[in-house]
Amino acid sequence: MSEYGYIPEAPEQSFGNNKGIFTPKDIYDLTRADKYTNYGQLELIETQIHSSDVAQVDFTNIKADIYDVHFMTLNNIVSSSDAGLDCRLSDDNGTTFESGSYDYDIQFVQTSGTSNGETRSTSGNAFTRLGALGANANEQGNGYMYFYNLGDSTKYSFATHQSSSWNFNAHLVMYFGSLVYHQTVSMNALRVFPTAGSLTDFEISLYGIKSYE
Amino acid sequence: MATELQFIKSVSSTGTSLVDITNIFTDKYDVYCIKSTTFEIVGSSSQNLYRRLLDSTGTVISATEYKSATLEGRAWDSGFLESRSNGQNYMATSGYINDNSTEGVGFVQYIYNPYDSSSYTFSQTQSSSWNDNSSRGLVMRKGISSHYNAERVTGIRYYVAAGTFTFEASVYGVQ
Repeated sequence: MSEYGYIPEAPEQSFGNNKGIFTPKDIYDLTRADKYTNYGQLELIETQIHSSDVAQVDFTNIKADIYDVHFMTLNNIVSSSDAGLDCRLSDDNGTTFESGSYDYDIQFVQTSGTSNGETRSTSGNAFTRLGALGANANEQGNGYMYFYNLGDSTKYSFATHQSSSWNFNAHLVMYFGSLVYHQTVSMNALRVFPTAGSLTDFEISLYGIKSYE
Repeated sequence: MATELQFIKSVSSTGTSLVDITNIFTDKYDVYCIKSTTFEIVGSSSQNLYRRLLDSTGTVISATEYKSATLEGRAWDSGFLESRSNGQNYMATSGYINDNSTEGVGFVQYIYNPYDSSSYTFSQTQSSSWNDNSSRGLVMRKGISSHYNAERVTGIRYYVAAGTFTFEASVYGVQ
């Protein structure tokens, strides 16, 4: 009721622009309608933690219809063999993973050996160099990766990443680069895997970065 | 320690030569994250996505007050290109695309201390973009910038040197 004794028209509600006094049901309904201001737009989709050795870690519910940018953290990635750490995309919910049409340009610097260099391809079989893994004690990879437009069937799927690894040459190496799956396909799953052996430890989290019109 | 992103604003623009994202930097956050998945050029080939900051009145800062350094790698060509300046009138660029809607870009940019009038504003960005002009392809860019005039900054401008562009971005505060 307004101060003049009439019931005003309900204000339009949207993120960052909520007006009025809300009951728990109002908040529930507005949240479900994506119109209630809840801060925290880095939304955890899934975390996978090592419980047994695996050849790959699959994320099959990436919610690519909701998020146009995904963020993945890779923590304490350990392999049974000297290996790189790669990633592939799937457009059939993880039944199969694409093994071609990946381009990348990745720079590296390291604490010993060749000081810096480049890994690149216009015909790669995966997003690569998410880390460099060694099989000895304390050799592990850590890093993060952004994915762009995974669910957009009209655009290429881009990615950027940076990692810090204690590699199989006992060097600390940093990789950073850009990657693209250069087909206009809507992707709905992704796989992280070592190029040899199995993962004997890992914690990998996938987040969506929520936005509003 | 940063624990979450808090949405501030989204912009979506088509057919313009510049996009101003205004009133996004406040005293609520020290660090900001800007993400974009859409940058498409119309009517011109091989354009960079440029950036300048907006001052406390929303006016673009186009003076020679930016330092930047960018490393560029190209999937079709060996080596890398370095672009750096101790004084120029724009920030490090993200994206280098051609006139093709299936091309585009993905980038995240972080901006530090923009609202602090006693501090320089710093930025880092990394982008992945596709440019098929003359059989090119994927372009990687990683860059840093600093606006070396201590003043309050409240927004940012994205623009191209020629043609018009379609652009979408979202801005977050890092809490």
